[in-house]
Amino acid sequence: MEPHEFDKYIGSKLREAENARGNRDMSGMNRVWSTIGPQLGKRTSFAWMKVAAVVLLLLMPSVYLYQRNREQGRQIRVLNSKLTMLDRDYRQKLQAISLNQPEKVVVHHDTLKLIRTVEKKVIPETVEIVKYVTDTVIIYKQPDVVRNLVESEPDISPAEITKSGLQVSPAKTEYILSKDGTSARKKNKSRSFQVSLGTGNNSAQAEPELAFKTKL
Amino acid sequence: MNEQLLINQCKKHERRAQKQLFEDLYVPLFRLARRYLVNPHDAEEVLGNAFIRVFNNIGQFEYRGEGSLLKWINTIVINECIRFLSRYKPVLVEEDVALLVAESGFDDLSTDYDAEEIQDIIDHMPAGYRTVFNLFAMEGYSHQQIAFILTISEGTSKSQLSKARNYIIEKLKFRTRYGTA
Repeated sequence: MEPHEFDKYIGSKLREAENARGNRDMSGMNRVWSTIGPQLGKRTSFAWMKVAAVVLLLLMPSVYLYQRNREQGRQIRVLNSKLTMLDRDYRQKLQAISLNQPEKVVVHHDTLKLIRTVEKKVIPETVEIVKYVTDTVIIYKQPDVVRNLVESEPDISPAEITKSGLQVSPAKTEYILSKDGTSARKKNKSRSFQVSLGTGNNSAQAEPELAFKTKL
Repeated sequence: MNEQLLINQCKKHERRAQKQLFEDLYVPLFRLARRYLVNPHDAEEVLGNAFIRVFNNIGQFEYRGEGSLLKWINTIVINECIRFLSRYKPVLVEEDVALLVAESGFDDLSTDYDAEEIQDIIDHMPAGYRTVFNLFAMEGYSHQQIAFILTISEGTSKSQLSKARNYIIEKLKFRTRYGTA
């Protein structure tokens, strides 16, 4: 037997053995198909990719605007809640003023600035203004006294008397309180003025009910 | 279904045509893979990978008459088998041509061996011998082609073939003398 005949002989015997196995070789067919089947999906064509890219490109500004809108909406909601909080605070302070309790008013509001009592520096027999702030409010327990004070004091202008207070702009003024605490006198070389704080208000003796704040 | 029509439908990734082609070619391709890989589960795994490659690349296939598709797919399956065998260690290492084994004993062989017996000898043959023998004797590749496929020299291919033949002859003689080992 020649080598090539030997190869043919072995080849034919192997094919014979394969044929003898018959259907046993098919046993794994379904298993193999179930493995490869899911991996044989339709390929996305290049044209579809281009269309998808264009759609994405067109959507980008919309997405940007949507995000911006959401962000601004969120900011508006935050500001709204702050405004609500400020408004509630404002009303509380206004109520405190109505109840004639200026010493409790401590917050400067956007539209209504009030004097803090701690800003008054009280020297015996003297109420000295030591801090000067723009657009402040002077609060008196006795509006009539204020009115008299303003009318007699040309440096204080323009004045607006409210229900419970007086808004004053600018003047640097010092007042000297009388010993009994019932009157105040402007401490000024050129001009002086004295005003009666009126009667019937005991708190005027305990603590002068004057709060001054003027513009620097 | 006409082979060319089936190919065209597979090129359009039509699932029914793909399954038809798979069912038509599964058995011959399984037997082909089984010649290189003894374990049938390994042959199934390789066949799965080969079919995926076939369906993914069928767009590049040019139909050149009846049987050209099977030949193309056969090549893919064989390459997949060799890739599988080389996964952990090289199928073959270079050999000195001077070590070529003289082939002898063909004349002493009878021609009435059992097919199962020969299949068993081939299954137990070293992978390198089996691969070269299959490529040369079963697929009809030349030593030059085998050398290219296995990235070895032609001398190594020739040497492996003669060793494979001698191995089969020795085993057949042994079985003749002492029965199944």
